[in-house]
Amino acid sequence: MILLTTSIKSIVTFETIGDAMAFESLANDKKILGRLLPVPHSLSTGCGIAWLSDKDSFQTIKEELENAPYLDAELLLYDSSSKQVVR
Amino acid sequence: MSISKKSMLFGGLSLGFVAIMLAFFGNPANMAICVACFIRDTAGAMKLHSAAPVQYVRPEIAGIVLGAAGISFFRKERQSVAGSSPATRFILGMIMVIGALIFLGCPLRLVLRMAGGDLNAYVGLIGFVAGILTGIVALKQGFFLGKAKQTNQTSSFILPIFLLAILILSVTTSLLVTSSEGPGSMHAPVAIALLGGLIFGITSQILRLCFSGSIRDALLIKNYDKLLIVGLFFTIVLIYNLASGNFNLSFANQPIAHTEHLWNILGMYIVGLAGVLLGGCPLRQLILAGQGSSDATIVIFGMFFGGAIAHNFNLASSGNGTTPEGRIATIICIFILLLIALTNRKQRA
Repeated sequence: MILLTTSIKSIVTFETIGDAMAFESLANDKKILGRLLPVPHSLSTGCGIAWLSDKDSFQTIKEELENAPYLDAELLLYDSSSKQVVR
Repeated sequence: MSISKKSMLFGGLSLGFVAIMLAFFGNPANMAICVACFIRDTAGAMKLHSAAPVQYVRPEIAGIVLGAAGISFFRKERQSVAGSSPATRFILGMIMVIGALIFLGCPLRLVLRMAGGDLNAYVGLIGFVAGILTGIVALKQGFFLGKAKQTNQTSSFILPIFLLAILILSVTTSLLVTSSEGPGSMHAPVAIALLGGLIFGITSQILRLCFSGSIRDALLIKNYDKLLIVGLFFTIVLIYNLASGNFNLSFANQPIAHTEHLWNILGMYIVGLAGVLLGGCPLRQLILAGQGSSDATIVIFGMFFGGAIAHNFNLASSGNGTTPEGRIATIICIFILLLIALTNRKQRA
């Protein structure tokens, strides 16, 4: 069950920076609201880059990633207040 | 989503305080803590090179790795991973240190020199940013050294144990060399240096601090968190230098620095580009190694090797300037970096 709280975000993590930049272009073309940011510390100890969007964009992002299999990416629902992956 | 502003403030100020403490207690001027130089010094103590003025086991290096190892274990963030182009990473580590020794400092020392008024460091900053920009182009073109995989835990303990053993040997035996003059003879007491390194390692691990990453993130995704921490670090050291009379705004007569602008730029260009290709500056490599990355451990060993050959083959600069061998090596290193950037691309299905 998805909690109805604004702390729930859609987060996409990527294999490479190139994939992150490619997704940013795709998201801008498809008018998916969001931005790139460093991967949250609770998700990774690395220096990678992730895409952050609101939870309502989850399904749209999922469909776009399914249509772009060349991107190595993982889509998550993330609760930024508890710093836990919801889904 | 990222670390809190309070953590950043505390972290940046803590790191600045550590640098001030290390300089106050005896580390070389404008080199309170320099990963490349200190790895070079440690390599010298191990007789990997024989440059007499720069031989000393720097406890800060062991402290940083052990601090990162300890805090990552405590926070359950320790992961033993390996397998991401280790041979390439070894070469990149070697080249990164050679570039740093052409300029005479890693990005950490770059900022310390800037805070000391060394205008040559501001010139080097141009090269550093240019190298990072080149690295960003490579990243956007799909540069990828391959995914690291989980591996046996033993591998992740190699570097912390190695550095601890070297440190213990240096303190308890006469097997390792200590310079009697020059930068290698200038050092804080072992306990203070080790403590400083531990604080640096713990803080840098928590903050995910990376000097090349701070500029990379600012340019690539307009995130300024890491740059804020670096800025705070710079500010507190600058304030101390101004208050203590250690601020000298000039090109000439700077401690352990030279005024050859082109080679300062190219030396730091190498460090910036190598740092982006490796996924972290020299400090970040120590942190990653402490966290369990054997790939970062390979980079550190490459850095030891680079520090050794920089002095064995007269590549390293000095206060008198660069050497002919160093200038040739700079061009070769840039060529190799660009070749690595071009030939390591993610294969798309």
